[in-house]
Amino acid sequence: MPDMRVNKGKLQLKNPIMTASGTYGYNLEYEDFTDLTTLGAIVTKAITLEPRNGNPWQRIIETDCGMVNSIGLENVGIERFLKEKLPVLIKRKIDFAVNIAGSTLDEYTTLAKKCEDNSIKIIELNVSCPNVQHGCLEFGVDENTLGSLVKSVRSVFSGCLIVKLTPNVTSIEKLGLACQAAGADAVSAINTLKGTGIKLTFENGKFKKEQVTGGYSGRGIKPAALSAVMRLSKVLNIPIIGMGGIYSLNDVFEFFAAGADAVQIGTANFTHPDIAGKIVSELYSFMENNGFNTLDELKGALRNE
Amino acid sequence: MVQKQFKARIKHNRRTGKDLYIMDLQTPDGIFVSKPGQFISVLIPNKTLRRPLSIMSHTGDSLQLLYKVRGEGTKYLSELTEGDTVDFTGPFGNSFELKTRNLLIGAGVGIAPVYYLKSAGTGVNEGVNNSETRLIAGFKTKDEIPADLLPSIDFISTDDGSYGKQGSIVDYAKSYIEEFKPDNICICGPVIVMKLISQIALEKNIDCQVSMERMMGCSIGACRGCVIKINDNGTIKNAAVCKEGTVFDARKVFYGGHEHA
Repeated sequence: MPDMRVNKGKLQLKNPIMTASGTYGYNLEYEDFTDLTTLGAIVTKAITLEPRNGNPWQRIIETDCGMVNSIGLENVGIERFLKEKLPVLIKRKIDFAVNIAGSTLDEYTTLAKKCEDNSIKIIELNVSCPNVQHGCLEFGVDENTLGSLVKSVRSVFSGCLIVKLTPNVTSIEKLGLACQAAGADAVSAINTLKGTGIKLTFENGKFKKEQVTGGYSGRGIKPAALSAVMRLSKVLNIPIIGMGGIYSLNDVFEFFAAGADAVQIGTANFTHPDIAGKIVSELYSFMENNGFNTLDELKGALRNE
Repeated sequence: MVQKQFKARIKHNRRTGKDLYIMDLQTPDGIFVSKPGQFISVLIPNKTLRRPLSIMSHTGDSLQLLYKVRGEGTKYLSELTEGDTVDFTGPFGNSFELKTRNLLIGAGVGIAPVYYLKSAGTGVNEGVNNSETRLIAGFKTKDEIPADLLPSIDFISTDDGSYGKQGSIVDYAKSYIEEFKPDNICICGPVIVMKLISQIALEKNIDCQVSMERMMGCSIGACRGCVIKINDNGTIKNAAVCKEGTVFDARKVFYGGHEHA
């Protein structure tokens, strides 16, 4: 019986397959498609201190090999999350991480403290949302600012602290190192790439244009994500959760080969809402059929090739 | 866990007007259950987002979709033939509600869900407590009328007069409302048509339901990609078209500004 557990410091998961924030709702949204209790963890939609309405239409556009979104962190806010969404996750025995986003250091710290007070085991800091005007991404692009933020959150949160990194920087390694030095337990990479989708049609003598500027995700970003994970893995000792364009078990293997310890599936959930659970069972069968007893054995084989 | 993902065999896929097709899918009777106004999301190979399509009719093991070829996704669908397989998820969204005297209005390909509503309502409600349901529809031109649906449509107008009365269905809806005296109006079509007809309905204090359309990400309310602003008893809030719609009480919908562009 293969052991799929991820056991890297405070990052403890029953298997390495997670779902990415923003694509999977808060709790049961995908329950008709996947047995949510089989997943390593679902990562909630980003939660802010106050509820947010997000950005106006148009929020999404399909592009070649992916999509661009500009949702703008629409969410119910931490109080409603704790009251309405969290109990369901606990009751249904779904493993989860709470993604939190703020516009000031104090907001992040307050959010993390509330998570601590509610015995939440894993949080993921969103310091890389490209779709809001203040905060968030500003924290994710400067290593000193990010270091102070992680340190402050670390001082109030004792569980597993993941920092989600943006690829929209010159050196993602420096940011990863700042997180590690400030006490983060893991980094996840990558958040969306800055992108613009434009769709033109010519009708009745006029151009009609649809345009969304925001975060580019999906199949097309996989090489950028693999590169980020590989660069991070060369300098970090803390575990790396890889994501970006994962659509199959083979994609998961590519991320393991690049140095990831776990992965998140994002945009692919829209295309195939059953994909996360399916990849968990495929990974299990693969390990069983090919004699891999632990994830480390599998990763070892992938990294030595 | 309710089964919401299906691989369905195509029974027929045929042209029924200019760029208009009807696809008949074989679905498991009693397992795939739908209501008028609901939609399914169809997987298009090598595309990231599924295409939401309204259900045009559904009886037993037969699910019919009416769709217009608009882009690569619908073009792909139009080229499929009998025996091919379609991966779809659904049904999603809420449904239209019938009352006593129902006026159903479809414009263009928006005829699909109101046609379903008429077929499903007839026989159930018809004749009971004097209930009556009529379907009227507007199209740009004769070529855009789905030929299969003609027998069920009580009144048709075309913008160019090539079939039925000439002019916009909005203008005829007004006199039709005067004459038929509905207590309930259900509309699906371009935003401008829904806006103008729902204004007439609300002025006359007639209940009115509109089916909104949006490009969708997840189809299940998770991604918040398809939200519109609604007025929920004085509170302005977001509603996901895929989950809280697609059918909304016309009183709650804003039509102005860029929110619905």
